[in-house]
Amino acid sequence: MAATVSISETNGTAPGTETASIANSNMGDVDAVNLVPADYPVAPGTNSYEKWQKFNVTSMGGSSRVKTLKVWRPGALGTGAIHKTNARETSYAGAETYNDPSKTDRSATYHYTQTMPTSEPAGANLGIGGSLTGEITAAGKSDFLVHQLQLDGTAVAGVALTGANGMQYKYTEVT
Amino acid sequence: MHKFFRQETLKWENVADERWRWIAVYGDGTVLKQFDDDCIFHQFKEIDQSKLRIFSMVSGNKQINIEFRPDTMKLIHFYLIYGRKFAGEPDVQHKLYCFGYAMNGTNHIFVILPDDNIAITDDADKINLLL
Repeated sequence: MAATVSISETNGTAPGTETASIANSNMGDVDAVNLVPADYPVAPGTNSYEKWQKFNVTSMGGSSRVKTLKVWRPGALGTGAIHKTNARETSYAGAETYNDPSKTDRSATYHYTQTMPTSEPAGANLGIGGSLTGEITAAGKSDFLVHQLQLDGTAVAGVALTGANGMQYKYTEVT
Repeated sequence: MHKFFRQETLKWENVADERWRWIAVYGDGTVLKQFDDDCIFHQFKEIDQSKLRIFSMVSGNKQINIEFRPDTMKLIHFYLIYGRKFAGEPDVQHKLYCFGYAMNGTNHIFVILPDDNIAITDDADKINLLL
């Protein structure tokens, strides 16, 4: 590896506690990192707690730039579930300021109105320094990736979130 | 392990070895290696493309050469990193080594895949890796 990049997650009351390198992106009915979904199922008609995550470059390792951040979730959701995010290729709203993760739908406030892509986006969909064309040139972080699972009343507990607990990402590194 | 001196921070950085590395051969026969024999790492932007004759990607006994024409070509080199985090599965991360040149407004990019097969494209983002 050249640059050392991990995914970090922030939880708790602002400014929050950051876990520098998460093991997974599991979502559930609790504000916690690396949670066990079966222990915190999301009830139909409610939402998961928001996730607040970043690309975390801890070392450039000789590289000059990290850029073009992409995130998506390849797994399919069950009936009645939708996965919303602020990651988007057009009309990106800029960097979000951390707020205590909530299970309330705050998509209007934190701009996670985009459905999470299920295949690789054509271009960057998460910004650096508030811009999709931003670049990380020294140890640092991306904008927050904010996302939430939202279940309607038709969702079946344990089925709706099948495939939800995974994330895929891609970035470009220039030496 | 090689070292890189970053001018912006005036500090040395450790640089882990790469599976594929570039070597630039100039018209006068001198050579610049990404990972040189003195354990110094060189950034791609250090290559003087105006004097470049051959750009090679090397891995063990494998070597891919581009005969470079400074008057008509602009060199390209970058990495694409794919990662995946899934519940109950080990993290997966793959690096694609992308290199080539731009000429007459078109990119000609060779993408070295994790199994060392090569895809050729004008846009490396068109390469989809199924993890």
